[in-house]
Amino acid sequence: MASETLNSHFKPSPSPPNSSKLLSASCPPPPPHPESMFTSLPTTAKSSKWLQRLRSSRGFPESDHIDLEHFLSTSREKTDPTDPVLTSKIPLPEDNHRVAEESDDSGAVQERDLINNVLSELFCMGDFEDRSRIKRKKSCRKQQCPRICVVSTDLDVQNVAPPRIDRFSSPSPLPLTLSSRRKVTKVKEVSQVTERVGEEEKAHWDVSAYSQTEVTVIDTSVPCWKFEKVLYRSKNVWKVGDKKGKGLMSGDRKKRKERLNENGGNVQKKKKLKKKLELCNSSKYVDKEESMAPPKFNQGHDQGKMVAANEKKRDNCSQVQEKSFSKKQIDEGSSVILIKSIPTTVKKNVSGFSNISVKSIQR
Amino acid sequence: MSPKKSKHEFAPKKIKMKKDSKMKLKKKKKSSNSNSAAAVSGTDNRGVDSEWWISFCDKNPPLPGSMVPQDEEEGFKYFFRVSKKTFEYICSLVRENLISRPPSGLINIEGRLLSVEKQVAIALRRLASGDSQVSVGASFGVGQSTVSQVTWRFIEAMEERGRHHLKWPDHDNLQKIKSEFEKSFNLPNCCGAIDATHIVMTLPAVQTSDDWCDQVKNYSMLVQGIVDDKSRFLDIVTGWPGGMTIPKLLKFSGFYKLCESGERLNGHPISLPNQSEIREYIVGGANYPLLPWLITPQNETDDMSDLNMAHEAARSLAVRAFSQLKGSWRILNKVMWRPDKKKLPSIIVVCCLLHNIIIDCGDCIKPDVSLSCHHDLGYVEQLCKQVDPVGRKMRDNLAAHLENTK
Repeated sequence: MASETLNSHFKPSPSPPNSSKLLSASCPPPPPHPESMFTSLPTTAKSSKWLQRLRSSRGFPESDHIDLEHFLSTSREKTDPTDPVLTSKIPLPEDNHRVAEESDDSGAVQERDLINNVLSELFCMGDFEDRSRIKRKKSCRKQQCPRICVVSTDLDVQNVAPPRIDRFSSPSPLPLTLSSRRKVTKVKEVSQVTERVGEEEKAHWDVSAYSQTEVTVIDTSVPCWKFEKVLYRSKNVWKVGDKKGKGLMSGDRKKRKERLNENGGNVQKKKKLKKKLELCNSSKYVDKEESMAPPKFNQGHDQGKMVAANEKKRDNCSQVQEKSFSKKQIDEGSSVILIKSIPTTVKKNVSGFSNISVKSIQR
Repeated sequence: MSPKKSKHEFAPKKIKMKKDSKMKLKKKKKSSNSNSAAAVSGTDNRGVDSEWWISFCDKNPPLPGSMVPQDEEEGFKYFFRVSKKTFEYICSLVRENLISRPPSGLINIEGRLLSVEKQVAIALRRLASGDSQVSVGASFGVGQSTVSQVTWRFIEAMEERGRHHLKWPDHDNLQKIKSEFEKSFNLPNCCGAIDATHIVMTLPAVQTSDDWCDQVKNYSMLVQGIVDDKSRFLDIVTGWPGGMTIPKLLKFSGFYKLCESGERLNGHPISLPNQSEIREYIVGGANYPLLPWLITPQNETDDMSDLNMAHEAARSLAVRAFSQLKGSWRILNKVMWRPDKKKLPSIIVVCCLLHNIIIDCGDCIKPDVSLSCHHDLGYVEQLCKQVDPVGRKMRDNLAAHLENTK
C-alpha cells in the first residue's frame, strides 16, 4: 500500500532518482521503480550490498533503522502522520553527504527540515531555507497537481492577499464541491476586474466579501447598447463594477499575466485582432446611425425605398470592414483568395471612386 | 382575420407557385451563364424564395388535427409570426449581413448556397417555435449546426441593423403617445408603462452562480421593458441575473439614470385645474418604487380607486407586451438549455425588435399567439416600499385629477 502511494508520487517527479527510508523499507525485492532509478546504478548492483550502496550513494545512513516502523515512529514525533504530503518526502541531493555523516538526532532534525522544505516547495509557502530556491522552477510545476491546486485556489479567492503560510496551515483540503468549483472559475474573473467600481461607496467595501458574476447587458438607453459588467453581490447588496481586460493590475496579477504570455503568446495576438474587429464594428455603428433615417412604416412601407436606403448604408459602413478584410487576405499571401475578393469589392462599391479605379485597371 | 380557404383552394395555388418558381429557376439558370457573379450575390433571388417556402410546406403539411391554418398567408404567419410583406422587409434589413458569398456562404444539404430568405425563415422559425435546432433543421432540410449558425448570424444582423425599431421616441412621437394614454386612461402626461419578466434557463453545474437563482429557485435572466400605448417596446434592459430584485434592476438601468439626471421624462409639466402640476412619468406595478417619474398604485387605499383602475389599465399594456413577446417568440417562454449568457441578451433584444417590427409594419398579433397566462407565471410580485415624497405628491395630484374629471 505504502509503496503504491510512493510510486504514484514518484512517477511524475522528474527530479533525479531519489531514495528514502520509506522506499527502502519496502525492499528486499527491488520495487517497480521508475527506470531512471536504476539506469544510474552500476551493473554490479546485484551483490548483497546493493541496498547499502544505493542508500549511501543517495546520502542515507547505511545500516541504522531501515524499517518502515522506525521511520513512521520518528517522523510522527515531528510531523502530523496523517498529512498526505508526508508520502512525498524527498531528500535534497545537496544534503546527501551531510546526512550520511550525522548522527540519529541530527538526522531527525534534518528530516524535519527536509519535510518543511518539501512542503514549502509544494505549497509556495515562501522559502523555508535558501536551499529550496534551487528548486523554485520545479515547485511551480508541482503546484499544478490538481488535488492540491483546488484547495489553494479556493483559499486564494476567499482571501485576496493572505500570508502564504496561513494559506497552507488553514484547515484540511476541501472536497471538490460545486461551490468550490464556482469559486475556482471566479479566480479568472477576479483577474479581469479592475478596482474601479461603478456605483457609490467606492472605497468603503471589500471586493473579496462579494461574489462576482460577469454579465453582458443590453440596455437600449445606453448609446452602445451592449456592455459587460461585473456584478458584486453579498446577500441583498448588489454592486456593479466595470469589467476591463487590461488596465490597473496589482503585482500578483501582472506576474500571472506574464506567465500566461510566456505560455502562449498567441493569446495577445488574438486579443489585438479582436480589438481591431471591435473598432471596426463600432465605426460601423456610428456610420449607420448618422446615415440612417428610420423609415415610417405605419404609412405603408415602401420596399424599394428601404432597399435603396439599405444599399446606401451598406456602402457607407462596409468600407472599413472591406478594407480590413482585403488587407487580411493580402497578408495571408494567398493569391487565390485575393482574386476572389476582387469581384465582390467591385460589385459592392457603387461609388464613383471604385468605378474609376476599375476603369483605370481596364485601360 | 381573413376568411379561411379550403384545402382545394390552397393546393392549386401551391402548384402554380411551384410552376412559377420552376420557370424563374430556368430563367435564372440561363442568366447565370452570362453573369454568374450576379447570381451568386443573390441580388434578385425571389425565385429561390418561393422554392424554400414550397419545400417547407411540403415538409410541414397542415394536418387535420393540427393548428396550422389552411390559408397560405395565415399559415405563413403561424410559422414565422410575420406576414409575407413584413418577412420581405426583415430580409431587406439583414440581407447585407446574411448574403452568401463563396467561399464562406452557408450551404444546404444539396450543396447549394442558402438564400437570405431561407436563412431568415430558419431563424424566425427557431425563435418563434423554440423547438430544438434539430427539429427546426429537419423542417427546412438543413442540419442542426446550420440552424445554430444561421440563427446567430440573423440575431447579430438584426441587432446591428434593426436598432431604429427600438428607441425612446422623439418629441413628436412622445406627444402622440401621451395623448393616447390620456385619451384611453385619462392619465395626463403619461409616457409609458413599465414591467419586467424572467427568462428561465438551465445553467451548467460548473458555472452555476447563485446570482442567477431567482425567488422561485429558477435560474433566470431579467428583462425590463417600457412600452407605449400600442404595447410597443420603447426601452429594454436585459442581461441582469434573475436573483436581482426589480427595484435594483430599475436602478441599474440606463433609463433610471437618465430620468434621475433629468435627461429623460423632462418634458413640460401639465398644469391641472386644481393648480397642481403633473410632470412626465411612466406607470409601474407595486413592485416598483414610487418616484416622481414612476407612479405606482396606491396600496394603502382602496384597490378600486379611480387612480388604481386607470393605473392598472395602463400598466396592463406592458403586461400584454410581455405576454405577446413570450407567446410570439416561444424560445423565450421555454426553459433554455444552458444558453450562452453573453448571447442570451441579444436573443431577447432581437425578439423585442421583431415584436416592434410586427407592430410597425401593421401586422396584428393574433390573440391566440399571446400567452394565455401571465408572462411571469409562478413569480409573486414583491411589494416595494420605497416611496419618494415628491412621487407621493404627484400620485395624490393625479388621484385628485381623476376624481375631479370623473
